Amino acid sequence: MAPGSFAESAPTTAGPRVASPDRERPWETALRAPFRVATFPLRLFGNGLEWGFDFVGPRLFDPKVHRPSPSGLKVAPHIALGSLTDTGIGPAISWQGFPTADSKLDLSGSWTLHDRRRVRLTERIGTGRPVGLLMRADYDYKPNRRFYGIGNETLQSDASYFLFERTNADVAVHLGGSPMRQLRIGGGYSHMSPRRGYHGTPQLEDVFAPASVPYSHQATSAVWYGVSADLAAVDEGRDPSRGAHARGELRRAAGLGSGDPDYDQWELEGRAYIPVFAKRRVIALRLVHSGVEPRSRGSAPLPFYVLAQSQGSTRFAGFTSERFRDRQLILARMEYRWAILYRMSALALYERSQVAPRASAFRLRDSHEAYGGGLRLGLTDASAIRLELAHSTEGLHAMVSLGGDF
Amino acid sequence: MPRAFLHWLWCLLGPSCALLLLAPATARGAWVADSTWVDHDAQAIQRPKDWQPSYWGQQIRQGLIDPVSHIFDIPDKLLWLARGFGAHTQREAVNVNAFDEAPNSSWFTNRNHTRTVPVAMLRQGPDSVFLPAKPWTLKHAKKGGWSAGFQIKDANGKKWIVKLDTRGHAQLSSGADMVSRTLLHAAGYNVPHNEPVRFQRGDITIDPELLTGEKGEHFTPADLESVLVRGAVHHDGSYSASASMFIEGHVLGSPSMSRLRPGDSNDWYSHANRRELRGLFVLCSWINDWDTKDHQFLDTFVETRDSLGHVKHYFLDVGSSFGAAADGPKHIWAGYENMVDYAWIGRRFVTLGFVQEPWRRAHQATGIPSIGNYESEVYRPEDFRQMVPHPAFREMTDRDGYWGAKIVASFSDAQIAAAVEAAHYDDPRATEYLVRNLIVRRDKIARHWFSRVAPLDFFSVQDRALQFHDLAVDIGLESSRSYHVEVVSVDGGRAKGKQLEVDRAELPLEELGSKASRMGLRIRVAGSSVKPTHVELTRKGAAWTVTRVRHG
Repeated sequence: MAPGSFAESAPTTAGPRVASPDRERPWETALRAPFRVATFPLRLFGNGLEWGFDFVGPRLFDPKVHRPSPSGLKVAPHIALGSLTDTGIGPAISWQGFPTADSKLDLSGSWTLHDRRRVRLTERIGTGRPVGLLMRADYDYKPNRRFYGIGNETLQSDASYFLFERTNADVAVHLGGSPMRQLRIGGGYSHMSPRRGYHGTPQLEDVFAPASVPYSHQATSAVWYGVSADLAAVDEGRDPSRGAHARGELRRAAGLGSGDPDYDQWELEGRAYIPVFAKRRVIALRLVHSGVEPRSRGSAPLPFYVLAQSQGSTRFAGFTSERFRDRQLILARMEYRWAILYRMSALALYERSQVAPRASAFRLRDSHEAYGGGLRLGLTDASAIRLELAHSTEGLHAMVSLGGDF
Repeated sequence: MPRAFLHWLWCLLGPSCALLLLAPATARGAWVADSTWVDHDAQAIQRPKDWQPSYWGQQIRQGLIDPVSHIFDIPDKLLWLARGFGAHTQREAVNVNAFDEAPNSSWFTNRNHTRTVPVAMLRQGPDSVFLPAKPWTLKHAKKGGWSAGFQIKDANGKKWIVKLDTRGHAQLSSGADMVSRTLLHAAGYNVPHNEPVRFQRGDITIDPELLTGEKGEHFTPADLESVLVRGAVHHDGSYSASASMFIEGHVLGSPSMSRLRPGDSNDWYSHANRRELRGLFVLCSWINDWDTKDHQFLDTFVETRDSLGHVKHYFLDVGSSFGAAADGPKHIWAGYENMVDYAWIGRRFVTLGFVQEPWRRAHQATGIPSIGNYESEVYRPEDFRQMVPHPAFREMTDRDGYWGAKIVASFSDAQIAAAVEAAHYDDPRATEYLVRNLIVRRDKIARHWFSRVAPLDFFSVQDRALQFHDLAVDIGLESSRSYHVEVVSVDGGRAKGKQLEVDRAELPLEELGSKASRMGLRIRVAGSSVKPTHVELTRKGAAWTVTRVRHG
């Protein structure tokens, strides 16, 4: 058939088809059928995933007409993420424009299967502006907080539980529009109450003698004031590859009751990011020192629940959360991060961490060593999702964290 | 062999064998002729129900789940191993005629590679050049997609979708869309009538019903401002956008590349096995159209008589090509790897991030706002990747690739220049850059695929000789060369073999088998390991006719 020897002909006219209906080759069907049967559960899972995204995709990811957030009250469901039995659900109320046009009120509450109850009220005024105000009130009730004892050499087998109820209210003025370069001055009130818990055995008092756990059944109240600041010089907020970030928080607390102690609390943190010949390969270093000290050396011992502890952003890799607590805590971590996907990096980590009653008691040989790897997905300048698997003397521990910014 | 294993095998294979035996021999009675140049797939049918695959489910299915299932597809691996022993286990495209071509259909019309489209016609695209007449009445907000825009009715009552170029990048997406749709139409695909347009805020009036929200949809001047603020502005203050006229017929939705359209009895070839969809890989690779998900295609029902009609298949939304994306210049990895590319993730992971991806080596940043990130130096035609893997591209064989390359290679420099000029780029650098890079990419494509399959085509018998074209010679990639021919002639049931060398694209047939009734030729490029072209000839009286061609 020579080029151009036929004209554009329409398929609407009557005529033949070029081939019979398409069907899989019989021998191929016979070959594939057993595997199709064997992988049926996996395909079912795949279909479920597809249907799930069909449902949430249009609601969460579809582009919407850009409109300024309307003022007024909004009610929505609220999910407080945690472990499987510690993930709470409840309502969330937000009020854009209350009380001024550039302010927002948020109120949320949640309850978990293990009867953890949380309520949080936040009022932000002037977010993103050079000067702003933040007011918060929190209530947290958890009947099964973990306690392993005080000190760096506590035993894993001494794991016990207690109920901890905490109420905080604070107000802070921030200077600086960006959370990466900001000074915050504020003060507040806190009430903390430990009691016998439930949804976990053994209980704290079944494992530890009351004398070894100061304030084990004694609530305290305090007012505090303090200052915190962030100063960062990094090339990019979400996935920094070059630069440094310093963060500090100092608080002075005064007990309100006759037996309530006065104390100073601090948390100092330094980070550095060094590219390894390219922005996509980074060595990230993090050093944290936090602590609490009574205002006078002669004062009463500090309640066990205000001590520096390994949880949240200071959780020790390779150990369970809340595993160690004492007056001072130090954590040094080195990560090698390398980009594997858009905004996602793989990471290899090495960490040494320790708690001690005083700074002079820190010893490298006594510190806990952990190494491992994981994934990091940068979400915003102030939050990332991390999935870590780290090995320590207490075995392999996985951790998923949402919202941390390292 | 252990009895338990035999029992297991019987339990699994038994039912499938039984199903095969019980399956009807033919699903639908059909008049089939593989010599046809028109696949008559537009026979009158009742209108099928509106249906399209869900957007997010399909993204997850094709982007995440399918690639994982392919990795663990054991039968696939067995078939791949069998290929090492010479078995031909790859499935070739189904809708291919005896001459190894995709016949005209409701999906595709043979155009430039069979009959050169004159430059003036090529510029016109699917119909004559006309723009939406002003003033425009804004009828709806734009739904779906990442670009800002809206639906309008023009002064002549025609409906259009207007999509704005991203702020700071006038003509980026609209220019890419215009050039791509012009080339794709000339190649043979159905494309909508798209035009790059300029307009002022004063050209638009919002429909009073939208302003009041009477019919549920509410759209205010403030909403329009919030759309326009995302748009690109020319030096004269006008907005830069692409206007796409509503396609004729009732919109049924996007087709799925993984299943046939429900209710369309004409749609009987699995879409992944259609030649024009498999071969589209090569064209997309050429224009770097990296977004080829199912929702970039659209089916409409064209009514012809008595509420009967047929489904017509369009390829649309080609603005994410060359260096463009819907929301600005494309990501520099787009076109080089899938959005979630397990192979590259694995390579990066294993090498601790020290592997150098091609897109990092490629100098894509053109510095031309209306072009974005596009290059041809590092580009390798076979390594082109789409955002989400396309099922038909995965099934592509060398024959399909050759077919696509043949179409790309059929575009002359003048045709390419005409297609680019149709976009009316303000920046002369844009026109020059795009033409130059399209030509370089075209030549790379031709070199790649013509070195896998002997580019011998358009066989015909003239003056008692078999004449053909060597496409590599025709387009100047190779100087004239000789061919090695193996001939098997059949004479009264007896087959005779013969081999010969010819130094031009012509074979005297009388010398090959004067008494034979049929002849099979295997033609290679002499001194090359490129896959040969197979040709069958049948004698009708004294004249020979080409009855079958297969490449590779």
